[in-house]
Amino acid sequence: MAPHLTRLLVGLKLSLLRNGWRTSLGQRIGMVVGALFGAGTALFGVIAVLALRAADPGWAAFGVLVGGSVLVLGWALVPVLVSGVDETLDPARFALLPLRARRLAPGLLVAGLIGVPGVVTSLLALATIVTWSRGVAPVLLAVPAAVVGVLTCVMVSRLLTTAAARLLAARRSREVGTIITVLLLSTLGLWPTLLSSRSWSVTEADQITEILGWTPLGLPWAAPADAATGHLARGLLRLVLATALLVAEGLLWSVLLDRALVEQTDGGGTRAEVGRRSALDRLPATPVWAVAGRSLRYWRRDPRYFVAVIGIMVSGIVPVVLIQVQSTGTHAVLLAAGPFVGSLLGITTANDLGTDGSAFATHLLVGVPGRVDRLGRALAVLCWGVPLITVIAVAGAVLGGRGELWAGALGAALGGLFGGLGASSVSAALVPFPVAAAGGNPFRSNSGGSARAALGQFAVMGVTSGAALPGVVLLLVAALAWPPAAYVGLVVGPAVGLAVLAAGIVLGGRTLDARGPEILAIVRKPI
Amino acid sequence: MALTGLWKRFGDKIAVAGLDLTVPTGSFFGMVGPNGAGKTTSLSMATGLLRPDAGQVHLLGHDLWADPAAAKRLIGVLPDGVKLFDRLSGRELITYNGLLRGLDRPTVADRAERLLAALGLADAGDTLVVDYSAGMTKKVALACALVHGPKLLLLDEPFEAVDPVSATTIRAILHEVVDGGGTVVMSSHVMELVERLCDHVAIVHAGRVVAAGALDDVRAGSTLEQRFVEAVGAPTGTVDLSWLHT
Repeated sequence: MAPHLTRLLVGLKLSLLRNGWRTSLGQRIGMVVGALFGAGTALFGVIAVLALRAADPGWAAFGVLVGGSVLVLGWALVPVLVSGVDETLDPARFALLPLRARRLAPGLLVAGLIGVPGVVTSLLALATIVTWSRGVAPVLLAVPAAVVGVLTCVMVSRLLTTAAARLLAARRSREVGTIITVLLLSTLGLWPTLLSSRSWSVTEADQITEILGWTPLGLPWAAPADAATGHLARGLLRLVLATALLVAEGLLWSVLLDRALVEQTDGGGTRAEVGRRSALDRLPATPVWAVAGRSLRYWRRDPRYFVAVIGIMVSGIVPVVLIQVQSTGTHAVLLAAGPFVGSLLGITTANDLGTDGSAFATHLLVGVPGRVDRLGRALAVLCWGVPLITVIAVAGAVLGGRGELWAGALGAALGGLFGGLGASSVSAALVPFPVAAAGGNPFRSNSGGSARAALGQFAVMGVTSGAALPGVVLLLVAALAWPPAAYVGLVVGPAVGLAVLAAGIVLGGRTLDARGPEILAIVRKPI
Repeated sequence: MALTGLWKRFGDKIAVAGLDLTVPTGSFFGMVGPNGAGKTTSLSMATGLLRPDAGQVHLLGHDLWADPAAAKRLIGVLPDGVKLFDRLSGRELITYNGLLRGLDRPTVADRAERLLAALGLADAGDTLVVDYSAGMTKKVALACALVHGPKLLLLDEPFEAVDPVSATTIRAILHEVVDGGGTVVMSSHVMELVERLCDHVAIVHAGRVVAAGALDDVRAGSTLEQRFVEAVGAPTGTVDLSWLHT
């Protein structure tokens, strides 16, 4: 019976993939991009692992161990942090069938290997056999170690998702997971610089190898390395331990699975309450300020907006950190922090109707005039954006050692912010695209394969840069030639930005009035 | 409300095929039809959410697609299948709709409290709508449709997922609207409900109205369900399900 069920589950996974391919062009593009990304990772990864064949055993062990541990860690964390990556074989969906975990588990495990991550992991694991083809004993250990390593990857991912299913069903924890992921990813560029800013010695690498090799992450990958350095017994011990760990994880998983099959996991429990009185109630009682107040609440409560703000803050802080670390560069670059962050902030709303999703129907049903919608949302960003950008622009000038140019930096920054908002105001109405709902998988929010939407985003960046240009040019003039130009910039920059913003609100508003139902049809599409 | 010659096609599927419907002012009008008959599509076109391929929509004398602002001012809509701004609490959401409709703050605050109380949402007024149950979401959406005192209510499946106690409340509220001279149009696939509530009905099938008029005229001595099955056509023949007897 069990092999039969396994075949059935593998077949199910394959049909799901096939149907996903057939669903829509967007899905197909997503799958092709995923496959290309996987192929690229596999290609570079396999070449790197094969190259370690020539390295001395110490460095080869270091490379394979670190890579392998990252792999296991990725399998463990990504599905938990990013919900919605792959729910195709969610155990909860089998809850109504009379099945025990023992019968379901092998099939779910094998099915977990099907797909881009599974194939890439398997290829990388196979490549390690070549790395250790330095004698009979290392190869004899490398083959079972690769199998155990791959199975460990899938097992930890299944184990953690099943264990966290209850937790993940709650809205709040899903959102926290998304925020953590985006934070980790947005600081990704920082880590290599920070890590490489100091040189690593051989003994440190050996220490890392030694420690990782005894953790669950590294046990299977370390076994053949021992054999290669002549510690056959230690290698065997690690392999036995890794296998025992795998079996233990399997047993634990099947216990959790049995429980998941009879438990309801539809969230529940957490209910967010808000205070009854709010400062936002003091805003004027007009439709424009009602829209602004609603947007302000969303900037705080919707994780997608919240994440965007975090991302912008990080993008402002990262260069500062980098410049402080690498003390060689000229600090005056920090003058650009304000204009850069200001423009970025302006274009975060470039798809605000897509972020609304079908909730935009409310505005359509009420018949909110387009310019009221556009102006209200822009006001919400200005309320907190102007003070924030002012601080960043002035601080950037001062930290950059050119405090006297604060006016120029601020002028260019506000020009970028206003101009970005103006461009976004039009693009959101003209080229909206559907995005993942709050708490969904943020990485599915691409332009839905629509070239128009992608072009629209480029146009937004172009217009924003154009709007910021006068302020930026005056800032450069002030910095390089004639300092009083900074004060001209403080007037001209925001003035040009405001003109673009006003035009954007009028144009965007007209577009919205003319195309309301069509916009709703686009943004309500599930992705 | 008058819908004339409404057409809507999605790809090669014709969802609404020349639908004509006249709703007398002051009536409690029920639209019934099987799943996929085109009820939601028709109501979307009648409320400004979906642009018809052809046909006209007149609401209280205003041509909706020629002058949307004037028509939308007078109607209240409970749509089906669209989300609300669910990161607001129930109270904030009703208030938002009131302010968008141009009401002043004291009026909105007063009406929001009353609607929350009437619909049994008083305890959940400060809970985010995203954490509401399906029935509570339906009720808060209805409150949003009522806050500005519309003359014409267009409700898509207003009783779906609503518990019996709340259903009684909603019925009373809708009757109050009709008694005050307002018009209520609702869709449902529950015949008994429509038969009990409405004074006028229309049976929609395959994107067309196959029967419409005063409830008693449409029923013509039989039950609405009987007439419905006749109009739509019952499945012919029986399939062998004998294993269900064992």
